[in-house]
Amino acid sequence: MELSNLKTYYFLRKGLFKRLVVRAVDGVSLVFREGEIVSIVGESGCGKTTLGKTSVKLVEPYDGKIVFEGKDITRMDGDLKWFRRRAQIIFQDPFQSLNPYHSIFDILKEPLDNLFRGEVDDPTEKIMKTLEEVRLAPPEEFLYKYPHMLSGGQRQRVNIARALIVDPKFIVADEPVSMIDASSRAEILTLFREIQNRRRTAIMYITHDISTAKYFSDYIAVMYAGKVVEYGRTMEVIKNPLHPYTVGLIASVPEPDPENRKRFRPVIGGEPPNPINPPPGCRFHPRCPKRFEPCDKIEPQLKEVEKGHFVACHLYE
Amino acid sequence: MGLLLEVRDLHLYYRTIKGVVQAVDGVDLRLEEGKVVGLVGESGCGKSSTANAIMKLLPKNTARYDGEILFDGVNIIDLDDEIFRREYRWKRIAMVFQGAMNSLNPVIKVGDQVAEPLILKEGYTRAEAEERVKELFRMLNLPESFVNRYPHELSGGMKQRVVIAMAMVLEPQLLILDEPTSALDVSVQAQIMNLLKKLKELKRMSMIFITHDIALASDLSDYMAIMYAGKIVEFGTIEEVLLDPKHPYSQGLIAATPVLSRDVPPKFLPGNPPSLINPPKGCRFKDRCKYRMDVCDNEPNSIKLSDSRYVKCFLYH
Repeated sequence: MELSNLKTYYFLRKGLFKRLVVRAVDGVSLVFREGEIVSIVGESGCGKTTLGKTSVKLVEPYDGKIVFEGKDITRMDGDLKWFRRRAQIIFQDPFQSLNPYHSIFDILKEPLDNLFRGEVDDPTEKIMKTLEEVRLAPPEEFLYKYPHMLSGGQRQRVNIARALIVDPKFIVADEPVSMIDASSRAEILTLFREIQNRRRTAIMYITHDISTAKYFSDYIAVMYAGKVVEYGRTMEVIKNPLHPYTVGLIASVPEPDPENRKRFRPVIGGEPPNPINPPPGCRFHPRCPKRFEPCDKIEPQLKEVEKGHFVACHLYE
Repeated sequence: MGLLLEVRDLHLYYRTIKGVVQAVDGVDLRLEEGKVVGLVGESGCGKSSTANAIMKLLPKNTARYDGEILFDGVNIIDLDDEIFRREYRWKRIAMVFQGAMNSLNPVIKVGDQVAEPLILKEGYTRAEAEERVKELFRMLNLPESFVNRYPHELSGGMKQRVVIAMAMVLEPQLLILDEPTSALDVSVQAQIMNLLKKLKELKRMSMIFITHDIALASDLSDYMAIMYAGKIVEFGTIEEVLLDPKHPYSQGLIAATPVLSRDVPPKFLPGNPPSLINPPKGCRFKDRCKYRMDVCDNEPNSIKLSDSRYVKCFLYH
C-alpha cells in the first residue's frame, strides 16, 4: 500500500454562505510493506484516525493517490469488493463496534457472506479456525455467545477475528487497546505481532501511546495537525527523536519511577491547534521551544535527514 | 506529620437484579497530611466506589456501607448526613469526578460556576468571590479573563483546570482525583500532572489519586495502593511497591506497563478479573496467579511487611 500526498478534507457549512474546511489529513505520503507494522502516533485531532479510514476507503480522499498492490484505487468506487477482501479495519471501541443482537458466529459470518458468497466451502470451520487464531479457545464455546457475554479484551479479539476472516493483506488497527485494561493490553498487541509474522500482513497501528508503538511496530510516523512530522525505524525515532514535537511527546510519557514525584516533567505548553485554522508555516511553531526565523512563514517539508529517518523541521535544513 | 485519613475495613455493596455487587470489600487505607496516595487498579475494581464511600455519595441501591472512615479523628460513617453535607463535603473533602470537565453547565460562565459555593456556603459577596476565583485561576495557570468564558470556549485541558478549581475553592484538606487526566492528550496530561505537583507543594494538600495507569500514579504519589476486585491487595510507599512489588498482581501489573526508556517488552497477565457478584472464595486473584497454592481458597490476611506496608497474599503468611 502506498499513500502519496494524501489529503482528506471535511467540509462544514456554517450559516448560509460560509464554508469551513477541516484539513484532517493534509498531504501524507507513507508506504506499507508486507509483514511490517507501521505506527501512526499523535494526539487527538491530529488526523490519525482519518488517515486510517481514508486508507481503507471508508472516507473519500480529497486529493492524492492510494495505490494498493500496484493498482490505483483512489477513485475506485462501486465495486470495492476486490479491495475489501484485502484491506480491513479494527475500530477502537470494542463495546460499540459489535452488534449486540448478533452472535459471534453471525458477526464472523457476515464478511464471508458479503465478500465471498458461495466461495467458502465450510464457513463454520473457517470461523472456528479464526477464533482459535485470536485465542478464543475452545471456539465452540464462543460461537453462540453474544457480545455482552464477553469481556472487553475478548470482544476486541472478535473484532480482530472479523478482520482476519477474509485473509486481508492490510489491516488498519485504530487504537485497538486504548479501551482495554492495562494487564491485557500487551496480550492483544502480542497477537498482532503473531498475525504479522505468520500471515505477513501489513498493519497500520494507530495510537496516541508512543510507548506501545515502541514494542509493537517496525516504523513510526509521528503526526501533528494533519501532517507527518517525523518518520523512521521505531528504535531510531524513539532513541534519537529529531522533531521538537516528538522530543516533547516522548518526554510527556509517564514512566513508573518513584523519583518522578520529586521533579517537574518537561512539557510542551499549549494544546494542539484546531485543524480548521492551523497556524501558518510550521503548524507546531506556536508551541515549539526551538522556533526561529522561518518557522511561522515557511512550511517545512519532510526530508531525509539521516538514512531512513525523515523529519519536517527547519532545524535540519 | 499528622494522620489525616484512616480507613478501616470499609465495605460498600450494591444491590442489583443479578445479585449483590461487593464493590468495596474490606478496604484499609491511611494518609498523612500533605501526602498523596495513588489508588491503582483496573476498571471495575472498586476504585471509584471507594472514593464515593469517602465522599458519602451513596446510590439508592446501597446494600451495605460500614467500616470506619476516620477523617481528622472523626468517623464520618457515623456522622449525620446533614452535618457531613454542611461541614465536610466540599469544605474539607472535595473530589474531581471522572469526566467532570464534560459536566460543566454550558450556559453559565465558568467563573460563576467556580464561585458558587463561596457565595452560597461562605457568604462572600460577588466581588469578593470573583477576586478569589481569579486568584485561583492564576495559580492553575489559567488566564484571569477566563472567568467570563463559557465552557465551550475552553479546550479540554482548560476545562479540567476549571474543574480542579471548583474542587479547590473551599480549600479542602483532602482532594480526591478520579482519573483526572484520562480524557486528555499526553502533552496536556503532563501539564496537569505538573500542576497537581505544584498544588501539593504549595498548599500541602492531601490527595487520593485514582488511576488505572501505574506510571501516571508514580508522577504524584508518595504511597501506592493496588486494588483488585474490591480489595486493596498491596499498600506501601511508592518506592516499596514500584521497585519491589510483593503481591503477584502488583508484579503482573508493573510488568504489563510498557516503559519507553527500558528495553524490556511488557508481559501480559492472562485471564480476567472475577465478577464482584458472588466472587470466588478466598483470594480473588488466585485464578490468574502463577503461585497459586491450596491455601489460597482461604481469605488472606493483611500481612505487615514494614511500618508503611501491608500485603494480602499467602506467600507472606
